[in-house]
Order: sequence, then structure tokens, then C-alpha cells
Amino acid sequence: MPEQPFFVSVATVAAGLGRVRRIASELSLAAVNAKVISVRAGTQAAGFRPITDFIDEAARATEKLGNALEAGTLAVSRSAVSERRAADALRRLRRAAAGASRDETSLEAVIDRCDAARTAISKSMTRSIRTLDGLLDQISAHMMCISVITVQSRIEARQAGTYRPNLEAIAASMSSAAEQVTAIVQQSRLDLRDALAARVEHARSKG
Amino acid sequence: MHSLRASSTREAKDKRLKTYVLYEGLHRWIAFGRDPEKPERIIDTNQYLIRDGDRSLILDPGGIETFSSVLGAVICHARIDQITDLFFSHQDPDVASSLGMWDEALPTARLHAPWLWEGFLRHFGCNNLTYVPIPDEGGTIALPHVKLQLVPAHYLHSSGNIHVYDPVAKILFSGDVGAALEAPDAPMFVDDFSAHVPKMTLFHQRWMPSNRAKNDWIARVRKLDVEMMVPQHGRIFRGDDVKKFLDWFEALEVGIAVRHPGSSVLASKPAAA
Ligand SMILES: [Fe+2]
Ligand SMILES: [Fe+2]
Repeated sequence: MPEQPFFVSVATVAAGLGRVRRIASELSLAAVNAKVISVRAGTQAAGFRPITDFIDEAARATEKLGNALEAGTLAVSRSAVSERRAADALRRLRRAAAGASRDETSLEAVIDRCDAARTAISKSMTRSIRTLDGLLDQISAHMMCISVITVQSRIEARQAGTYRPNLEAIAASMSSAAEQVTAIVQQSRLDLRDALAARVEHARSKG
Repeated sequence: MHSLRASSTREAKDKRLKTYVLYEGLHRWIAFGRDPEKPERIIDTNQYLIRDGDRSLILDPGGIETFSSVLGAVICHARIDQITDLFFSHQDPDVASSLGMWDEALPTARLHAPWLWEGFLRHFGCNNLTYVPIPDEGGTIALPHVKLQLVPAHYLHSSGNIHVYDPVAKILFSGDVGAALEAPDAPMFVDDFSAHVPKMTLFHQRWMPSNRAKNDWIARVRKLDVEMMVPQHGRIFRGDDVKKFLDWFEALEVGIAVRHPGSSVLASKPAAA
């Protein structure tokens, strides 16, 4: 059975990262709840209230990063399909040229043009992958920030009297969101790395 | 707070195909359409995924130009190893020109398509997939929770043409029948049947060649209990609109190019079906 094509691997990673957006909306809900409860709790949540701005900002930033990540992987996925098609065209042209007579050289220019187009696609894809790597770094760092906010939220929730369970629930949902995103990002990194390695290996084996 | 450098001019969700869950029971029907990344002058297509246990079937997966979008959308609902079957209602490029890519993506899957087109469809590249030829009289595809019926729809518009009926979800996938030509961001469902008619008329008059075939198909479909008719282009018909469509189609004379060669209808040249 042939190995999984690179364009399938990247589409799979894109689908995984698409889940970050859904988790980001859970985080946004937590941010709204945090604000509502801290207002309702009044002085009991005096310590918690300043944190709600951070939660809000964290939710927005996660959503934005999640979007950028998904768009970035989709772009790589599209390039991977284009690269596959360009490589296919090139292979067929070369086969045609090999079968043509020795005097027939007009195909060479066509082949050169196709080769240049394929190289351009590959280069642009490499750039997109680098951007994606950067985004994965950013979101990982961002999830660590959310973990810090979660710890802070738990401490402040303890001082919130009757509102303690509500605020603790918010901290728990933030923590779970951060954990899920971190797990997705880690898995995506591994899958992307494997896919890239397989792509290099495939290119090498084809000479 | 961690600073945010990431920016995207368009939201990622706006770059994906729109997704609609049509039926949710022991199996699921999901529709994908309105590709925002679709190149201009290419007819918009709807793709359908039937997800059932460890099997998934894509109906009319579409052309090569929309392959990335379709793969990207489908894979959010089924892992690549869970996509076990493809179905082509006929041989048109907007249905089947992605075949070579699917052949690489799903080397162990089955391709169900009219027997008539096997030798032709293989020109798109079909070295790994198993081609399961559908006989003229139709047949079935058995998924874990539903036995899909393959309904003959020959000459509508292709000379070897098959539709898919799901007796559990009561959904009929009608290929190019029920298609409409309209804006790429049009709604997915028919909400006003009379307003929808002008978007379908020319398509059916010009692309459908045979009144006899049309009436034969209508008689067959009237025997089925159809709650939703889902075409490859345009909008989905629900409830009473299915019956309204059959009545409208019955009254419509098709194959007009034969009767009125050189008419203004022919000069309007819409995107191909
Ligand atoms: Fe067609
Ligand atoms: Fe079509």
C-alpha cells in the first residue's frame, strides 16, 4: 500500500487545529461568565475582578491565534495539493520528452517553466510551514500564560466567599481549555514533523 | 500578557467550505458547499458525506480545483482511514476530475460509479481505488446502519447516471437534477420555491436531454418517501418543496437545443454542469 501523501497529512493536521477555534469559544464563554460573576459578587470578588480582563484578553488572543493557525495549515494543505499536481505534470512532460525525437527540443522550455513553477510552490510552502511553526510556538507560550492566570484565579476564588464555587468552575474550564489546546498543538507538531520527514524521504527515494 | 503577532485578514472558518448536518441518527449526512476558495468561472458544487460507523461515503466529491477544500472539510468529520467509499453519479469533470487525487489519498477505498463510465473515468487516474461498477438497473450500498439504494437516472443528464436514496434518512441525492445556477454565497436551502424556479429552468431545459427519461425518473422517485432532495448544485429541497419540484419538472419541456437551435437561450452560455 502506498504511503500517505503529504497533502493528506497536512489536511489532517489542519482538521486537528480547527478544533482550537471551538475550544477558544469555550474560553470566551468563561471570560464572559467571569465578568458577570465578579460584578455580581461585588466586594467578595474584589481580588478576582482585575483578572477577568486578562481572561478576556486570553480568550480573544486564543481565538485569533487559532484562526491564524487553521488558516496557515489550510494554506500549506492547498500548496501541498498544488505541488502534487505540478510534480505530476512535470513527470508526464518528462516522459513525453523522453519519448520524443532527439531533434524535438521545444518541450524543454515547457519543462523548465513547469519545473520553475513547482519550485516556486515548494518554496512558498516551506515559508508557510515556517510561519506555522512560529504560530505553534506562540500558541504554546500563550497557553502557559493562561495556566498562570488559572493559578491566580484559583487563589482569588478562594477569597470570594459564596461565589467561590462559580469562580472555581471558571478557573477549571480555563485550565481544561488550555490543556486541550496544548495537547492538540503538541500532536499537530509531531504529525507535521513526521509528515515533513516522510516528504523528504519520499523526495530522496525518487531521486 | 503574551503579545499577539498573529494576524489573518480573513477568519479561518471563512476559508473552509460551509458545513451543514442534514441528518443525525445512527448514521449522519453532512453537506459541504459554497467554497470561498473556488476559482471564478467554475460552477459551485455541493458535496455530501455519509458517515456511518467505521465507513464513510463521499457523494460526488467534485472537481480537481476544489479538491483541497473538500478534503479539508471532509477530514474534520472522518479520519482518512474512515473514508472507505466514493460515489460518482456520472462522469462529468465537476463530479470526478479530482479522482486522481482521491486515488492517492484513499488507495484502499471503493469507487461506486456507473459501469458505463469505467473506461472513461479511469482517464482521471484510478490505479489504487477499487472501481465497483453500478449496473444500469442500480443496486445497493450496504453501510452498517443503512442500505443505500442506487436509483437509475439515465440521461439526467448523463447517459449513465445514478442517484442515491437513503430510506432511513429519507434523503435523495439527485446529482444534477434539481440543480440551480446562482451566486456562490447563496443559501443552502430552498426557502421560496417559486423564487427558486428561474434559477433552475435553463439548467434543466438545456442540460437534460430527454423528456421520456425525465418522466420515467419522476415516476420512480414518486414511489420513494423523500423528505429531502439534495442536488449537486444549488440548494436543498425539503418537505413539500420536493413534491413541488417533481410537479414543476414534470411540466417542463427539456432537451430544448434540439427544438430551438440557435435560440437566445443557447447564446447565454452559463458555466458548465
Ligand atoms: Fe453533470
Ligand atoms: Fe454537475
